[in-house]
Amino acid sequence: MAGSSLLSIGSSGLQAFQRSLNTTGHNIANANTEGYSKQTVDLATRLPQVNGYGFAGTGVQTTSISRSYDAYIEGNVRNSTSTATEFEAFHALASQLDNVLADPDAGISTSMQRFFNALQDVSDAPSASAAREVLLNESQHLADQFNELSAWMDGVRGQVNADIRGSVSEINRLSNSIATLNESITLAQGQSGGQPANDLLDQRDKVIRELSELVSVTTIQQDNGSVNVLIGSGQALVIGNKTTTLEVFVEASDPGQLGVAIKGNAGVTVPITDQVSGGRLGGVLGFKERMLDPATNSLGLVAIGLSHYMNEQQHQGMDLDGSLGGDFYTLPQPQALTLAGTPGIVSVAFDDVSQLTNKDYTLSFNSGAWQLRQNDTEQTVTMTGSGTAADPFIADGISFEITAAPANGDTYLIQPTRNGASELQLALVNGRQVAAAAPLRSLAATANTGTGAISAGVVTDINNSAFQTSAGQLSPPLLTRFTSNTSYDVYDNSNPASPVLLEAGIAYNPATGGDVLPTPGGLDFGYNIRITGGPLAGDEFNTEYNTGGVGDNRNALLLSGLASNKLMANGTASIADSYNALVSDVGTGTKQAELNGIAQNRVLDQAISTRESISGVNLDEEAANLVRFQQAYQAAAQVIATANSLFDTLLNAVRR
Amino acid sequence: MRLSTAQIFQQAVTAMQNKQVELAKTQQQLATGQKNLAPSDDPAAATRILDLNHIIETTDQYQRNADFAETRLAMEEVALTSVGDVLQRVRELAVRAGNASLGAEERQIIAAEVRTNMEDLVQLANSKDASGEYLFSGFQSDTEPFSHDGSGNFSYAGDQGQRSLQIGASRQVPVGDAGNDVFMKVADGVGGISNMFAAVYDFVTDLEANAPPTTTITRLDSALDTVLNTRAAIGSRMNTIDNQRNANDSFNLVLKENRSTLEDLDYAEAVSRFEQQLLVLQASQQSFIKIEGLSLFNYL
Repeated sequence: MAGSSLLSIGSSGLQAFQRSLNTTGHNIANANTEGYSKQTVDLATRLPQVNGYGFAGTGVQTTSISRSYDAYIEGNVRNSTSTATEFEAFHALASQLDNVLADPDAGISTSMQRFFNALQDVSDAPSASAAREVLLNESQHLADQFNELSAWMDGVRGQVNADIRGSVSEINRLSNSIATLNESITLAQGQSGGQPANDLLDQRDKVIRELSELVSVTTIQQDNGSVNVLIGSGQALVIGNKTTTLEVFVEASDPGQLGVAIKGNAGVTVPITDQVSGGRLGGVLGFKERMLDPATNSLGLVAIGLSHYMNEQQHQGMDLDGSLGGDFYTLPQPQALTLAGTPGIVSVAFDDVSQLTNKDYTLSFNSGAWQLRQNDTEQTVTMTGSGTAADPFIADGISFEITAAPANGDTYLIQPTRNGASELQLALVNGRQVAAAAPLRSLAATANTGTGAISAGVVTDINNSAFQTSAGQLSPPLLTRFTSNTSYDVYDNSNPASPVLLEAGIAYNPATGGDVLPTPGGLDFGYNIRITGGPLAGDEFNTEYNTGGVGDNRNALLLSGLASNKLMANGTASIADSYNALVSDVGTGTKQAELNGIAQNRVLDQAISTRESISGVNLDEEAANLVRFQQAYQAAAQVIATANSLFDTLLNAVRR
Repeated sequence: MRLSTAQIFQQAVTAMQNKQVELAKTQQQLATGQKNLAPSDDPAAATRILDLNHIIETTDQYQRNADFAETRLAMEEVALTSVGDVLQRVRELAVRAGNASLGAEERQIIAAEVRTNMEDLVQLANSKDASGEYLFSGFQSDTEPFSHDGSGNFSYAGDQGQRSLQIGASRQVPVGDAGNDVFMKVADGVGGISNMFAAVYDFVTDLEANAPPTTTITRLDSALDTVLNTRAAIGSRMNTIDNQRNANDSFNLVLKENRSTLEDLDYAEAVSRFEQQLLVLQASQQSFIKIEGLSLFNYL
């Protein structure tokens, strides 16, 4: 019937535009809802009626309400979110280190400078107790500064751990939420005959995006509407409405450091710390591995260099009380940690501090052979030696002694410098112990008639029995007596009344002078003295312990020379240089993270713009749609009015 | 391209936030006067600045060492000048005592004066520096170097050590002379070696025995020579110190200029940048207000 058909057509329009108006209202209401995608009512003509004259239209029908969405663009947003937050998290932590290391109060530079200046003040007035007390204070302050900076870095490590813990619990919450949404979506879409559950889909995308801020994820769309989420190298986090839980655990290879593990089906946890990347978690783990660990090691290296070389030189000197110098600082020790297999059979020690690096190593015994590997590059380091006490393995300035039979699979973590800065302690307890003097002195006899002169003497090996036999004296003191202008004898002068001849008839060249020790006959007392000029027969030179030599500053000059000597990094860097290298490394790493962060944020902004241009709500557009659908609704209403008046016309005609 | 309303808002806000960050950084630069606020701003410059700081402060320390060296040498110089004056006075008295017409009583008067002079000499040879160290005892700087047994035997208890101070990266200067060399190596007038005090003591003995001095003048001349030579050496060391100090000064001046170009802010540039950033921020704020006011709903 014509009238009822028109009524039906009109009411189909009314319904369609009512829905369109509702959807426009929904869009306007959600203009500021995060993750909302603009929705559109999809309209289509109803099935036409077939008549003899052709197909008669029957009105409009709503086929679906769809959201403006592009899965590829959403994937881009997700990926760039992961990368951008990774750099942001890295940079936020790195800039803390960056700010502190070069800070004149918190860094090491200023304290080290003051320490070496105080050392020079002692060399200016070696017997003045004031200068020695100042040096003692500055030395203590420098050690404190290393300890404090190291404690502060531990604090940063604490932040890293807190971040890992927080991220993991947030990842677990979000993956639960995704699983719940998967279930709701599957159910809703099944009930609606496959129509998209737009608002639930938006919610799930938003949760996955939040997840990608924490860690890089891969998603796989399933036919039933659910999405599977994978992290790391393909570990399933969400499958349909099921989740696997992430856990934190204390890394065996690094006590005090948290790692991430995934709890498998059978309740077995599998560590995935090295596999996760991207997002906050990736950034924090990357910062720990690429900046915090190397920086801690580098700072330790500086502390070890300082204490080792200060001690070495201090041992060559004599303190204010006439004793040989003891340790200046307590030398921090390298550590070996059993990761697997036979516990504690590796004993590590420093072999050559100048060759130390800021690396950590793994020493392992496999197929009957020991192998050393650098942890960050995973490259094998060649070791010399055989691992015995007499002939230890040696590589990168470290020596390894294997103290018991190993088994295949034995693995040890070697951290040469990790604790350097935290363990540095001042060994001196009072200023008098600073070994400013050299332990020996030489004298030309006053009665000498020639022009010969003798050098003050330089210690070459303080462990020689000449120094070690008896405290406070040379064993033996030496008398060099010329028998002609070109020949001399060397005597043990322990008893000056009757010196004992040690070696006779040693040739002397007045034109060049000559070193007295070691003698041609092989006498060596761990020091060297040099005679120059033209001594004559009967001239005598004495070398003796520097008893009472409180005004001697020879060793203090050598100690302060350590400030500029190239002692570190295979003789290419001073101690201060090696600290500067740390500042530079951290600065460069921070700068790089900042620049990468800026670049990635641009990429993210671009991806968000693209998504917004597809999915975002534009209120002007919605206002225009309101007008459009309102007009269409009014027109459809007019169609019904017309159908009504047609029906009235017919009724009136019949009534007549 | 189609824009969403939320995005128009967000973009404007983000732009303003970025401008504020830039502005805050410039403001901090202006407040501190530093070009780089953290090493990451310019890692290469940061390391170079640490390096320069080290060299500059070490050079400042060399200057302090030089002051110390100069003070010590000046004290030695003062002591030796006095020694020279005393020796000169004794020499005058020796010339006068050589006069054959001099009576016993006059020789006794001279003897009394010379004995005092001898004691003065020992005292001067036992001089201490500003920090209480004996100037002429070598390394044994808290051992009194010279003593007299009362009967003409003078002994030296120090050694032949000579302390040097670091006044430049590769320059050390000796800041003293062992007493052995200055006081104990004087010609004895008969071809051997004796000490300065004995020369004066022997003169006193001669005078008290009413005899004219024998080798005194030769020995005093030798002593005066040694003192003069030592003073000349001190003078040349002081010259060395002066030269090195000037060199250190000019060195530090260059280094400080170098450091300044690395770390100091160019205020003119920074102020104009600040003004520009301020202007841009104000413009974004104003345009934000205008754009946010635009909506088709205003006309419905």
